[in-house]
Amino acid sequence: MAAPESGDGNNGAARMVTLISSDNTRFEVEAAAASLSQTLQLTILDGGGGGGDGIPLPNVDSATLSKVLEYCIKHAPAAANGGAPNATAVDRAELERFDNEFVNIDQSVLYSLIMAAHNLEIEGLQSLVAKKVADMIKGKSPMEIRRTLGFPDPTPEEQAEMNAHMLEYGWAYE
Amino acid sequence: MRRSPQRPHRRAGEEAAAPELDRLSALPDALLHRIMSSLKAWEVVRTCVLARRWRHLWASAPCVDLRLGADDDAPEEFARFARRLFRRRDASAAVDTLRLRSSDEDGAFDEEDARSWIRAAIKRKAREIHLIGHRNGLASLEHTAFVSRHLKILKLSYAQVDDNLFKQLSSRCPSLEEMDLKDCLLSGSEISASSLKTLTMVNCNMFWGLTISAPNLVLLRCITPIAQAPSFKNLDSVVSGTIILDDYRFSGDFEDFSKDELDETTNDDDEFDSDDDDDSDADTKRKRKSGYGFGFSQKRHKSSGYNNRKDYGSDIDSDDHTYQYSEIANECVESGYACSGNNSKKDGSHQVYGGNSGCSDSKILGGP
Repeated sequence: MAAPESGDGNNGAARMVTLISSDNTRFEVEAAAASLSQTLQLTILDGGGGGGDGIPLPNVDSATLSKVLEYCIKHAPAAANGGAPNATAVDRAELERFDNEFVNIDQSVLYSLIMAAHNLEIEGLQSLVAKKVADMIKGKSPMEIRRTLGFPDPTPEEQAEMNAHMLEYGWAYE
Repeated sequence: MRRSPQRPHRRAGEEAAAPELDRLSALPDALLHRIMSSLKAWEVVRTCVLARRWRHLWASAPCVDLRLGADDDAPEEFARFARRLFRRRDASAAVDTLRLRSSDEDGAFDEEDARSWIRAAIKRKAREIHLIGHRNGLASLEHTAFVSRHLKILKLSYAQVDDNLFKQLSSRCPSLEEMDLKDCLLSGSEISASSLKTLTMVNCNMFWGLTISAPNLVLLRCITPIAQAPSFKNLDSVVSGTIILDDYRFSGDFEDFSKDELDETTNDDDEFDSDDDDDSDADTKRKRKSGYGFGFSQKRHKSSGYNNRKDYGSDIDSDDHTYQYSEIANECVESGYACSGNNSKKDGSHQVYGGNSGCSDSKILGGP
């Protein structure tokens, strides 16, 4: 829960923190949004990331980080309220719509997001991207899955292995 | 295409030799397993043919989801498939989560199959089990199967829970922290579990009366119990509780019972009544805040014995604890419980609480 920020909000402007991507781009973002990351939350609680300091994130490039923050900013209000006490069905539908749009992205970005969400421990984002990839697998043949997931075309050797495996694992198919 | 930041996280394990890993396959096992947790069991097994990297991943996937849907392209001999799945899994890998139905309506597997899968999962250190029965055929659980140091979360829908099971869970499942019961028939008389921290009961029938005694319970949600409301004791640790009653769902018997013999039933709860005056204010405030600000008789509220625990007083209005409330309200709507208030038209005699706003058939008695 990102409750700790509630105290800061009383003094007018919300507290901001700076995050620095692996390629040295600085992102200024509300502490409440960044705190969706369990990894960052402790640092921020300790007062880190404010002023000129910034929190370096050597594992996340700027393209991925901006995407991550887009998610965090959208989800922060609900999370700050501990899951949105007054969330109406409309609010929830809006978040859902946002999430669906959000993962409708290029595969390479999606895979970077999986890694970033994992490193930053953003639970909701981890579930969201994992589910997106799972959806890409559902209801497809092995070759279709390979293509959808962006695997390189199998070598003849690999193809033979796949066929052999299909036979061996017939019990999961028939 | 792979970017350097990802490299340090690549498992230096078995597949490091394969140079042409696609980006997805380059992710650590834990993340690929997480993806698999959103797939059904047969889809997980089938990933083994995708590439070498995926060959053995299925065998240690932490989640086994055997819920068979009508449109699923599952193996024909489903029971045999599930048996093989458990047999051929990596024996050292825990089945963290098992999700299943109690039987298949089209006959692909029966109750005994489902029971054997539960046993298999418990044997493999299951931490979480979700069992869904059928609206027209409640799942009955084999209580003797529930002996586990690992079982932490049990979620049941359309199941019957009797005293044997309640007792078994409280005495033989010392790690059980969360129980989530939806549309269940609770034929046992007491839930008594010292390890329990979260208890959710939605649309559960407690016709025979149910006492909940859980000294370490932190979060309690009891939404529209059927036939009777439960009584509580030893809830000293509760931080957050939501109770929504719908008197339309109470039997006429219970109405009489509650009026005539209520004094007896409140004894257990006296300890909670002693200094809850502060709570009443907070309660009113909270109701306004959440839009359920209709009044109900404070007298009835107190005498019913389902009122606020004094434990709620201190942090009753903090946002930390209000969210479950709307979640519950939403859940209720999602599960087909309409807050329409139309029962007053159908049967005015059940309006014992005198509620009259948009949601007159639900009464929030506990804190959010």
